[in-house]
Amino acid sequence: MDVFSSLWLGFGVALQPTNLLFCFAGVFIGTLIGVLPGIGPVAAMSLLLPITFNITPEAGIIMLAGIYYGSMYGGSTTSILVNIPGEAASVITCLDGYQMARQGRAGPALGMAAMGSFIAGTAAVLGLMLLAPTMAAFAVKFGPSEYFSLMVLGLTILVWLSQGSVIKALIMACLGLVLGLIGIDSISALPRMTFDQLQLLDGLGLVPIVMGLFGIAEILNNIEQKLDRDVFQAKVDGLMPTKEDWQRSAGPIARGTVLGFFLGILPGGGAVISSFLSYAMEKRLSKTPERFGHGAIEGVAGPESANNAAAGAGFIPLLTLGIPPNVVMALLLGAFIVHGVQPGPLLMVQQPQLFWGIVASMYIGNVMLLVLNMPLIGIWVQLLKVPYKILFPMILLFCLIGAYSVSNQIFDVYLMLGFGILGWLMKKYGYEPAPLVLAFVLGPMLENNLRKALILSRGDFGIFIERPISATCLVLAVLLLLSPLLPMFNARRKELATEES
Amino acid sequence: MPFRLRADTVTALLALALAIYIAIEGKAMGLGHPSDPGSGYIQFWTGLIMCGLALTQLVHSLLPTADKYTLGSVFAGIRWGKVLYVTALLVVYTALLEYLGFIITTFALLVVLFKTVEPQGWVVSVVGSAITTFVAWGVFVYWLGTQLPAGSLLGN
Repeated sequence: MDVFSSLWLGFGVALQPTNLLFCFAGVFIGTLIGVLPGIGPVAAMSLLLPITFNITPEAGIIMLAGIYYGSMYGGSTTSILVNIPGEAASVITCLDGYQMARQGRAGPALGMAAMGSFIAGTAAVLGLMLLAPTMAAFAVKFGPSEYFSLMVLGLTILVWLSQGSVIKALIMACLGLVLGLIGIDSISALPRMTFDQLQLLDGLGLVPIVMGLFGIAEILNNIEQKLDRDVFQAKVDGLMPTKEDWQRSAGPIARGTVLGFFLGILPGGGAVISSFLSYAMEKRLSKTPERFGHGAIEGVAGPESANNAAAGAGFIPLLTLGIPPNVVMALLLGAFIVHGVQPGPLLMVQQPQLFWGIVASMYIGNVMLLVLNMPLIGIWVQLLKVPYKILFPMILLFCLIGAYSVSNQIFDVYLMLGFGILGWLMKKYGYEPAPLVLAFVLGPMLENNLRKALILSRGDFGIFIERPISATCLVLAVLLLLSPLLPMFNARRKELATEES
Repeated sequence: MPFRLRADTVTALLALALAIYIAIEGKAMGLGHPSDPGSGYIQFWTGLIMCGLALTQLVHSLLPTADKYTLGSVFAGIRWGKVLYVTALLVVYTALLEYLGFIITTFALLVVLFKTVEPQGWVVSVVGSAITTFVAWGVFVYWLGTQLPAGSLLGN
């Protein structure tokens, strides 16, 4: 089946009324989550993951995917109007977006963010559609050693990009790896670190951990301080950018799209880092870099395009290799597994309706998002005026319901609270949750592939360096880990990490 | 100047203790042989790597150039009492959830949160809590089919 007939099949799935409804629900909730500071796509997806248990895998994944790329759109609204990013990938949009709003140009800033996001998001889906079959065909040749090394590289990149100490991030990754091993060993069927607790036999749940580390910890962080919000009061109108705005933004949108797409594919990379790099690149390429930070529309168009392209591209390693490149994709992997679907090179062959249905829904979702973000901007502005003191009990309630409803066990709620406190303390002492969560998800896969590779090679560790792809991944991982020892590379890493923070 | 234990030193020691425990547990589960790794193989080696990392962090934290903040200094200037209070409320809520049921416990939790964390008026607190509780129950139980505890107190 060629790409276009596959896409035709995908549109047949995505345009089914139920899937269309869940696609709309996903992008709507995603926009909402993006607009509201204090709850990100990870927490929202964890909350809604149990809900997908009752619907088809297509509808569930379409909705969760919609939340992710929808949040990328919504995040720019708060950055531009309030100077508070709705989610991490829109941090850099604050710099010029808010300045544009102060100069009476909130409309064009919001309009350009939405248009850039739409163009980049659609281009990323096109790239996903064209690249995924090639990548999947290539990935069929992957053995356990390649998978193991690729996962090690993914974790290493995430650790390298962590905001502070690489050592602390590595400690978190090790902890996540071990937490992922709790439960019955899939090979020997022996219980590991279960402390004779029945609830631990199936291992720790991803949802309570993620909701604790990202949802509850974030709420506790917000409660500890007074949250003042200065919502831009002027009427937002004239969303369409001028001809000059388009001339200035065309290049940044194109470059941001390409940059975001390739960074999004990389394990450990993603929307946040691509938006920062796009901003830095545009500033460097600009003939008037002094305008940046004072309301340059290029500073909105480039990063917003980059983060949306990266969000779309992040699906490539998940759908073709079965390896989540970031925490959001790790949650999506969880959703796939819950529905008995194993993403990877065979997904396209075994479940073409699911694979192409997701791809087609992303085209539809991007159009929906453009409609949601352009004419409905007034509603989102009103929503921003809801005080956090009214909002936080509701967010807490959603977290509690989300943790309980995964398996209807109080144990999971306690687990979430425990990880919430841990996440709050970790933030205080400079330990990041992202390496822990990604390692937690990758842990069982990493162990499985390591053991399989060693069994196949009869205990010869040479298998990891004799195979070219595996050796390349490991060499890159070692170079990245050693790079902080070199002052020049460490300065660059810290620069990236600080920008990201 | 009195000696104060730096936060990074304490967290490194905690990580070291945890890493040693992980490695010991891994060994107890059986390492097997590289040609047939046992259940504890990866756990043991992860524990050892973590030990090395924690020791590096410990040494780093003792250097004169390291961050000098202490365990307690990160709590200066923040409303940590509110954090403890909300956490305690959530623990109590969780303990009572299956006994009293979702509607009663959630309504009570929301009223207390609205009224005490960033105090609101009684009308906002009670009406807001009632609406939120019933909307959440309706959406999650009736629309999305989520099972939430009705409560054993009422004989359910």
